[in-house]
Formats: sequence, C-alpha cells, structure tokens
Amino acid sequence: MDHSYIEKNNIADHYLMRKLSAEESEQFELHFLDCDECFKLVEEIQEVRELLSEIDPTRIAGAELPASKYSPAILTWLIPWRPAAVLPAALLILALATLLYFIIDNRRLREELNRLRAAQVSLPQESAPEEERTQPAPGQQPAPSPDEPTRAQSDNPPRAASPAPGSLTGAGQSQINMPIFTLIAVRGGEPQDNAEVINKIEVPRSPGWFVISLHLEGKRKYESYRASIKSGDKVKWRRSGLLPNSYGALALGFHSTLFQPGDYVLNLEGVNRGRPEPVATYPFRIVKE
Amino acid sequence: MKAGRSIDRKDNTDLVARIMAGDESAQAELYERYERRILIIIKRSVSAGADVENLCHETLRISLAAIKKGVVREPEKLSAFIHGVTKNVLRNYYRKERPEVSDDAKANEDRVDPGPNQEEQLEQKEGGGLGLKALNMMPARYREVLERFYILEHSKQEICSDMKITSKQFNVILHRARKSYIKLYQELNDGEGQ
Repeated sequence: MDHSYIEKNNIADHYLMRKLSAEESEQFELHFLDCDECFKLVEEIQEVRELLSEIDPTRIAGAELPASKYSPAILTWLIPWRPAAVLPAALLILALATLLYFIIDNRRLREELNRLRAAQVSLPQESAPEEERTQPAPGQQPAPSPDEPTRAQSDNPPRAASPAPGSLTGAGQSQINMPIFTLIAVRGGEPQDNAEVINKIEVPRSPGWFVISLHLEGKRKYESYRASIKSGDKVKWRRSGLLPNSYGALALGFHSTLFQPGDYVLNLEGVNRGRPEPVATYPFRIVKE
Repeated sequence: MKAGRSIDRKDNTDLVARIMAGDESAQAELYERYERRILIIIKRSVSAGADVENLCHETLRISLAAIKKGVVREPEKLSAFIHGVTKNVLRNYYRKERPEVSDDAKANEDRVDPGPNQEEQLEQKEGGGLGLKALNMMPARYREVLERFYILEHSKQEICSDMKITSKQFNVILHRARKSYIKLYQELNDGEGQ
C-alpha cells in the first residue's frame, strides 16, 4: 500500500469510516504507524469527522443542495417528485398485462382454429353428398338420396381424405359441391372398352376433391375392409382397416391430383381374423374435363 | 521503504537499541512516536473514551517491556511489532477483560466522563453549535462535499457524478474543505473564548 494508492482511493477516509476490509485496514495501519504524512492525514480526517459528528444530520438536510441528494435512499422514494415515475410504471404494467392477455387469447384462438381444421377435414364426407344431390354434375351418376345407404356419414372417415402431396386443399378451402361417384362392381375386373365404360369419373382439370362410394349392402360382413387402386400393374393407392359407415357404404375421398386420365381398378377385400378375401372389383376410368 | 514514510528501519533499530541500553529519552521517544498512532487504531475499535486511553497505555507498556527484555527480534520492524501488540490488547479487551471489568469500567466512565455540561447540551440541541456554524460559513462546494461524504456517507462516485467533477478534483476539494473547516472552527472557537 503506497501513497498514490492511498490518496487516489481515499483509503484514510474509508479506514475511519470502517469501509475497508480487515485486511486493508491492517495494511493501512501498518503503513501509517511508520508514515508521518498518512498519520497526519488520518488525524486531520478524524478531527473533521468528530466535529461533524456533533451536527444533527437533519440540520443539513435543508441546505441549498437538492433534497434528493441529502435523503437516505429509502426516503428518495417518498419525496414528492417520485409520483411522476408512477405513471410510466403503471403504463408499463398495463402494457405487460395487455401483452399477456393477447398471448393467452392467441393460444386459445389457435386451439380453436386447429379444432375447426380437424372438423373441416371430416366435412366432405358429411356435406358433399347433399350438395351433390341438389346439383348433380353432368355425366355423373346421380347421387344417392338421403334415404339410400350411400350417404356418407362415416364414423371412420377414409384416410384418403387427407390432402394429397402438392394439393391445394387446406383448412381454409371450402368443399362445396364435391362430386360423389358410386362405383358398380364387376366380376373379375374385366377390362373396359370405350363403348362400355361402367364407371366413368369426370373430374375438373383444376385440383379438387371427389368421393368414391362403394355399396356393401347385400355383401358378406367383414371385420374390416382393405382397398387398393391399380393402374395397370402399378398400385396407386392402398388402405386397410376401413369400416363402412352407418349406411353400409365405404366413402373414399380422393384428390384429383392423385389420378391421371386413364383406367384404374379398385379392388376391395374383406378381412376377418387377419385373413383377406376378395369382395368386389370396381374398374373405373378417370376423365378430366 | 516506500515513498512518504518518515520512520525508517535504521531509526527503529537505533530506538530499540537505546531502550535496551536503558536510555530514558528513548522510552519517551517511543511514547511520542507511537502514542497518537496507537490511539487512532484503538479509537476505531473502542468507543468508550476511558478505555481508549487505558488500552493505549497498556499497549505501550507491554511493548516497552518486551523491547527491554529483548523480545523484539527484528528491531527494524518495530512498528509491525507494536501493531501486533495493539491488536492483542484489543483482542484481550473484547475477549475477557471487558466483561470482567465492565461494571468497574462503567463506574469509571461515569466518574471520568460525566457527559456534556449544560452549555454542551444546548449546543447539541442546536444541532452541532460551532460545528454547524463553521459548516454554514464554508463555500457551498466545500460544504457539500463534507456533508455528503462524512455525514451522509454518500459514495465518492455518486458525489462526483452529481457535482460533475472528476475523482481527482473531488480529492482536491475534500482536502481543501477539511483544512478550511478546521480553520474556521478554530477561529469560531477562539472567538467564543474571548
């Protein structure tokens, strides 16, 4: 500990004010025991402090200097100018509360939106047949009446209703007048020629959804069904674990982008105890308008 | 020895040698050199006025006896030795001596220091009397530094920031303020006495 350090850092003042650590105090004591200059400085500070200690601190609080500089820290919160800080603080709290409200509300709305999206995915199987019934598309087979079992109210909507890759469908799109095609089964899946097209599906060139309805009435009951669509030898689509709706029909939703114009064969198999059995074959032709 | 020190090792070695040789002026020199310094250390730890004096004398007595007996093996470090004795005296004071003599000390304090007289009490009621008067007579800048640094114990940084002064300027102002205050107080005190 040397003079420049002692002077620069007011060590003598801090020593008498007991603001030094025990180690620093000891070092300084050892220093001023040998140092006249520092000893005199300590004596001077001690004298001033003793004289000033006689003064009532409240008597100096009214001096010319700003009151805030003379008040203990706790009092600075109580003196009159502080209320000016209350308004910004209140505004800050209000802003934070509003932000919190919007975050919570946004989360609630997102959950609601997700719920609606999920509901919309299942919407085609419920609403489209009605629209099809009222406005049948030209060239299509007439939609079954509400009394007929083909009305798709499946408790297990076909998984094919999920959007195809690259499709334009989405939660924000309405599925209005979605066409429903009821396919007629043939024996052995015999090929169709142009003159005898049994199942012709005309879909618009613009992307869209359509439903293939398969009537199962009169057929043997199975625990579940599995279906596949082939184009030649190539399997275009396959799904298992299908269950008919309450009207005894399988309603399968497809996106038009899944198919190119051409001939396809839908094979339906029934599954009991894990064993599949052929149920019916539905050849159909896709025609894009 | 570092700059500013006024007692060198040779001084200490000579002093110890003279005391051991029975030089009475050397003993007086020891008291003169260390008494006030020891008082500062003890005052910082002990508030009772009577005890401060007694502890200071005890420290010097023990130190002198030790020097005479040749216990001080490194005379050039006499100050460090005396510092050690001072600390031991203070430790003993707080550990065992004080509780034992507490009643006596209380009685002694009452006898020696009867407290402020009527005039002093009036001064205290007036909020410091001459001390406050001297303070109010000082230039505003000096007064502010003294009040804030020593009475309100504001930090140096805070004061510098408020007064828009550097640390170096603060030290200069504080030094001049102390000198000015002591001088003013003495003048007022002298004026009162006349």
